[in-house]
Amino acid sequence: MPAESVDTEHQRESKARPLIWFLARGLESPTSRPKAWDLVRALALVGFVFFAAASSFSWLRLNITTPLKHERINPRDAYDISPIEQDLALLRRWLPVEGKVGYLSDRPEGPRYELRYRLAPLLLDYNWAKHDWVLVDYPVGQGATLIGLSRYRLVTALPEAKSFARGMLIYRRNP
Amino acid sequence: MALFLGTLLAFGLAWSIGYFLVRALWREQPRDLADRLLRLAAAFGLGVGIVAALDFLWVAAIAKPSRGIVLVDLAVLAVVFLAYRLSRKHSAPAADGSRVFGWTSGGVVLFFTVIALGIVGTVLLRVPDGAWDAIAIWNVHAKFLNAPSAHGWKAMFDPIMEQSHPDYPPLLPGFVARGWLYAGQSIPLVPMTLAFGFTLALLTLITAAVTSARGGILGALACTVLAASPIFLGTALSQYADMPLAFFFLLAVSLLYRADQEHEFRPGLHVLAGLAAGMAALTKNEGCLFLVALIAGRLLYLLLSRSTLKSLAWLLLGMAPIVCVLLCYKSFTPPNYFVAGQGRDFWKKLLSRPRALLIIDSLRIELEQPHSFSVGFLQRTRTWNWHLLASSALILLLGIDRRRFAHRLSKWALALVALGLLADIVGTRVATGAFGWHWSVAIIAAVLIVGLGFDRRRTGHASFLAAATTLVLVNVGYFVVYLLTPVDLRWQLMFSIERLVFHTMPLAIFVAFLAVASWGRDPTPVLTKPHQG
Repeated sequence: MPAESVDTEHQRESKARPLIWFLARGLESPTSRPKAWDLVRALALVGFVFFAAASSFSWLRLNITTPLKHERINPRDAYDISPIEQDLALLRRWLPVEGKVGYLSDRPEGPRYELRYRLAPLLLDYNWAKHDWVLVDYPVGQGATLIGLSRYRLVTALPEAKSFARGMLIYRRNP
Repeated sequence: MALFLGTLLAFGLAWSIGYFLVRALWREQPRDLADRLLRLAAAFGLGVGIVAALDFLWVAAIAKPSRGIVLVDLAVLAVVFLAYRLSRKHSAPAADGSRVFGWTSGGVVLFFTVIALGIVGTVLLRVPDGAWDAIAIWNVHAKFLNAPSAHGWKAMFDPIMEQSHPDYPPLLPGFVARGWLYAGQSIPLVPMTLAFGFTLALLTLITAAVTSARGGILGALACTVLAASPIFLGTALSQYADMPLAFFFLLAVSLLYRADQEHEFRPGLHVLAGLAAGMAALTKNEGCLFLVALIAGRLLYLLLSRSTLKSLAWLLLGMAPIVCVLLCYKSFTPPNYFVAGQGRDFWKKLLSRPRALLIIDSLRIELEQPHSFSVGFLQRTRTWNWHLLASSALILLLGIDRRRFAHRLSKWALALVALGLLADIVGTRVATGAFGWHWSVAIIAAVLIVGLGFDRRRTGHASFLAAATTLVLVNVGYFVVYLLTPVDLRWQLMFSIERLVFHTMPLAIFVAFLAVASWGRDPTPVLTKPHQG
């Protein structure tokens, strides 16, 4: 298309562009000066950077000043032994490091799985009756009624292990 | 203090191994700051991957972990250092050494990187154990790899642990296990630092890769688009393998793009890209799909540029050692649930229209309003749902070649675009729960702009088409995987779609910025004719 005719067309249509005038101004023709279009691009770029900066900064402020419910920020948590790990250490004193032990609990699936993952590489088997060692997650005093007293004896009760359980009991099958 | 120093040793050794490996294979001296940053980011990811692969091989060969592996790490470090020293004698001089970042673009990169790291760091400190899959999959595997008895690590393949997906590849657990071994305790600091490190490495990589290809201003803008994305921030703090996977996707493609722009054939860059692609496969099973997509993209490149198969051969050579490690790992694992679950209804699921519509609708909802589990740790602001729209509009505006567009399209098309964007804004504010007309208009408008308005010298170039083909094929592959999944599709979409969107997001940003029109100093104003390697 010859540049001249495009310019003429542009002039004819210049009165009928109420909405997109600013954008169209830069797209006039192959021969027109690119300043207006460059301005559109520059405004888009600067506008986006300001939008992203405001958005990111408000996220940062919100996430620092408004922790989620029941949560705290303590840099020591990154390298300290957490309360859960301290309780797990109590269990590990009595249980083998690896292999399989039985696990009996009526807790929901999520917490049961979590304990299984946290005690790895020890495997917790929900089919507990097959194993010599059984970990019972019930309040102290209730475990004995759930597990056959004649076959298993209580090795230890760990009522202080409260971070992930209601009180752990460790039973061992009688010889 | 010992815990901290042990963690530092693990990361320091990994990064050093990666650095000297990158320098040994990429012999050309860095030509500017972007080149240096690209090497530093690549060194982190590849170093972590190599250490993780060594960790798994050691455990598989010796049967149990031992601190003696530090000698293996030091030996590997010595070998790559020697290779680096030897390669320096043959290295090419630096090209120009000019500044690529002005004060403004450098300041923008620094600002957004610091803010993103601040957000991710804060939430990592608040949730040191990471999201659920970090506890239930990745860190559990690391615990098994550190099991003290002989062959104790194989207990992770016991049917009891089926829920922890033992077939998932060992890159992330391998490195976490190594960090814990050096630290002497299974402390959260190691996976936290790894997540933080990959966040920084990915931001550095996208900035450096785009800057190297398109100049400092567009590089800074690419960093901004990624750093301000809610899906990026949500994924970064979850401590999942999705962040490393996205990193390796981008690293492989950007190194190949870089290699294509060189005037001389550089086999080292292809080998590095192959290593990065292999690492992707060693990170998650989705990485295997990426390998196929990357090779298909390269075949297209060879076809279009009429090059020889030499570059592909070097790429495959880079992939080979890591794929061997992966095959070794897979020889121990039970079959993947996706592969094992395929049955007679294969074709029925593949051609199911309701399943396809459900996937598209879930994708649309996730893009409009990221809502899923891994982003749940972030407090949301009102700008949360506007990021995709704003960044898409920006890229389209930057991409329009004014003269070409004026030739090809009347101003009425611009009105359509404006209407499309307006409809999208309205549609975002009034979520209908269905794939509404506003999305259709917006997509048609975007396709019109890209197809008719973008500079064909860029979007028609073989290197660009190879990168774009890889991006498209990976996403098509994900779509097919969703169609065929043997588990409940709604459940799987709910818990995975945002992570799958994220896998290719940095790569999509890279490809988009390759296509946009030049701004400021552009290292490749018109793409050079590719070498005939």
